[in-house]
Amino acid sequence: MSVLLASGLGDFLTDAVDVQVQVDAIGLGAIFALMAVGIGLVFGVLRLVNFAYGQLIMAGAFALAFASDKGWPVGVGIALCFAVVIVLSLAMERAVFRPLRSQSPAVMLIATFAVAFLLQSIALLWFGPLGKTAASLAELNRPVSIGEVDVRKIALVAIVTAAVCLGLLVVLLNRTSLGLHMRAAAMDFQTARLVGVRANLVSAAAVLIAGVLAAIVAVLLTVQFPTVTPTFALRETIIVLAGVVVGGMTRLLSATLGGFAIGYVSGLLGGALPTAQSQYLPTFVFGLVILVLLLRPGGLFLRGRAAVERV
Amino acid sequence: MTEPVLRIQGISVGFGGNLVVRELSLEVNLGEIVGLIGPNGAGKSTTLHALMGLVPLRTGDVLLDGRSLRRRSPERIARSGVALVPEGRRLFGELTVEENLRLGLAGRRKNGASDDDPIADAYELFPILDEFRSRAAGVLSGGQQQQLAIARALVAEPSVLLLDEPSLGLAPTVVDLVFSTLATIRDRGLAILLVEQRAQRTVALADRTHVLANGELRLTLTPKDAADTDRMVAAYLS
Amino acid sequence: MRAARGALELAAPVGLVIGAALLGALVSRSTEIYFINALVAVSMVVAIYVFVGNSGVLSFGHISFVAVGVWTAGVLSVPEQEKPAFMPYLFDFLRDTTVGNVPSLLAAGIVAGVFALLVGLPLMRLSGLAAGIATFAVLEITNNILRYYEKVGPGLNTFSSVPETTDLRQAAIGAVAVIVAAFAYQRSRFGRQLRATREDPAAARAVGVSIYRQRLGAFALSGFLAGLAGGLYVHFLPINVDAVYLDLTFITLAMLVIGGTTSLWGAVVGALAVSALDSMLANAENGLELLGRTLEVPAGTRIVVVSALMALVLILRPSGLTGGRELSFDPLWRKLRPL
Repeated sequence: MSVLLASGLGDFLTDAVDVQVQVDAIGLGAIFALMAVGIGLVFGVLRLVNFAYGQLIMAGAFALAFASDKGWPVGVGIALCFAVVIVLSLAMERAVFRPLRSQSPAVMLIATFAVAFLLQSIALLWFGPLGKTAASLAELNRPVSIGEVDVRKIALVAIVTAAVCLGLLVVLLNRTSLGLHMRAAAMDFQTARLVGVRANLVSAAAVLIAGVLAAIVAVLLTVQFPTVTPTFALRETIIVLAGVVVGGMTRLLSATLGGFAIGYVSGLLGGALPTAQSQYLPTFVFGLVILVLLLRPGGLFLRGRAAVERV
Repeated sequence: MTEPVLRIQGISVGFGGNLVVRELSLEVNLGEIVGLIGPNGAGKSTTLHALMGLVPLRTGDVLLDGRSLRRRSPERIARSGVALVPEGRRLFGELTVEENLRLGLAGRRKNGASDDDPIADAYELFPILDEFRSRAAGVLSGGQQQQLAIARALVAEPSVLLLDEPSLGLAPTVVDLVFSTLATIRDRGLAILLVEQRAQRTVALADRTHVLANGELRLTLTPKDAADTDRMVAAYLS
Repeated sequence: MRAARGALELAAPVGLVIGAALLGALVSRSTEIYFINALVAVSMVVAIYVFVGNSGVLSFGHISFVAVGVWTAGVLSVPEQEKPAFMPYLFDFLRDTTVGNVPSLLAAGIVAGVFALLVGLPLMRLSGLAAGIATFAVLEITNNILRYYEKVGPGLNTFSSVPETTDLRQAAIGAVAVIVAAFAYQRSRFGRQLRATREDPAAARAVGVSIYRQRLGAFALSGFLAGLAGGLYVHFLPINVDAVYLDLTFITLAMLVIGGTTSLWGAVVGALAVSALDSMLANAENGLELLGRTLEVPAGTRIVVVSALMALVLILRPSGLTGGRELSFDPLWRKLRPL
């Protein structure tokens, strides 16, 4: 029995260390990290968990598929994707987030859950359960050879894109007035208003940035999974959300690390687990999430006080 | 007689069935310090919160340079030239001193933007802040934090400065420093409304000091009453 | 007076359920299905309410208890010769055991209740956002296991050959039973203590209430009731693993929120109101007769409307249709008193 286990573990480790698997896992981690930033930023400034974040990504992906269907050039498709996601984000902020600002976190969570289902069901109505395919971006999903190893282009693109985006974001937050205002609002919204920080502007900025990130993720995901269905990205949102809570919701850095970690682990387990066990991947991942929530409710990457209450 | 820069007209503020402030009226002119003292729960802090638009006015109005501030959002009031130094200072502990000051710039009036560097002015007025410029605000001592809180408010170049119990938790020497700085600020032409617990020192500093109890103004004292303050206040309120 | 108020608190939801059942008896066979569906929904939503309404803690995972109930009652009540057709890999004792209607319902409740108790032991220490995420994780894990572990059930296959014993009468009795249980709980010392922790946790703790223990108790009870509802469900329709997953989670939560999360009356009103709306829309999707012309409402409109409604209620009236309160005489008394 133990020999079997040992050889199984051995297989797993050999598979895990494979460069292809590693790069893919890091690539997935990079995408999840971007989503984590989008979710974490909105949470930090608006104190709101946007369950419907995945739906923004879905909308962007459908825009890409739509453009691809019409035979429009890839650039136009991407522009449409950005436009759709940004408009939808701002509409959500205005119609749902702002009125709910004074409510409890539980109400906000259910409300965004409702919005998520609303958008999903509209997509179902519009595009049907089989969805649409965005074929034009498939080029990037092909492998490229580095040395002796085949690595998919998209994984590299995802990693580079994520690094650039995160870098720009750090510059925005630390070097600009807007970034300063957003950080202050995340720390103490009321006092920020008292010194003159415009609440609505800062909220809209956070939502807008999160929207841009969602659009980027939409492009990256659509390359890997060209068939866009109404449930596209809902699953990923839940996993990223779990990752953000596990990493530490209250700080952007820890939230991002949490998102990356859960993406990386998912990618690793997905790539290295034998198929029979890989069916139970969600069980492993979510089991891990529960474990962390119980042991380190404040988050894995967060030092100091727990953001999450325990009784 | 010039129009007072800040005119509070018969304001009432309340939560639920209770009125915490009842039809309060007072004025502050440029270049003067008006003190507001009274026992706990008298409504002093609530008055300042109402001025900043944090709580709604049940009755009355607040006029800044003759324009009503009623129903404006806190950030809009801040950007109109009213700056609050909140109780407990409410600094952003994780941001640096410099960042806290830069944050204060958010309250600057667009049309009032001068060529001066308000942050440089703040460092001149409070040299200790210059020393700590790149340190996190949370590492400063109580007195230094109070100076930073005042500096942050001044950086917005307001015409009215509101202070909510700045001497809270500070040693007497530090209070002296803070109060003498307020006198300097007054001499530069600002209107200052100072809410305080330390009755005697406030009466000594301010041009005029009102005593608030149960949400109403009961008594007005001037610096010549400073020595007698406690006795007079107690006699009046008993 | 207090007894009268208590009586109304129970009589109102029970009366509404019985009224719905009687109405359902009067309509055609094809329409009756909507009524049975509504009554099963009442059982589910009230079960969820027992925990969420009394504790104020959000749970996204209660449908996992419904799923466990479905699996238990389903596997145990399919006739022995039919089992291998769609459940070929069952554990021996499951394959060889077949029970009747009521035992299967009880088993569903008990197994789900025990499951809820085990899940609650670690989870009830969490609050707020963490509880939401953790219970969601439970939903995902349960779904994942039931989907692929074919030794305990049909896996991806749909339950078939389950005796269709949930007719109007069984659904109504089930709903009433769940309501009575919920009422008894919220009237009991435990229920009142839990409600106290919802209103003012610090004060409750100060008088010695163990938040953890009270929540655990409610969680286990609501798990039992949810399992029971699952049993009713599998005896009504052919269920597969996706029917007890996200969509059902969403709609039951919507029913609770729209009705009013914090009251039993709210749970029942919400379940019936949303079911009614949903049924009308389902009918409309088959062609709506409007002013002599047939309006084609596309399939899937129902969820759009229900989710939009849920979002609107949360934005405009978060306490729900009933305001989160039980039906009471008070407004009436107040009007009559001056006489």
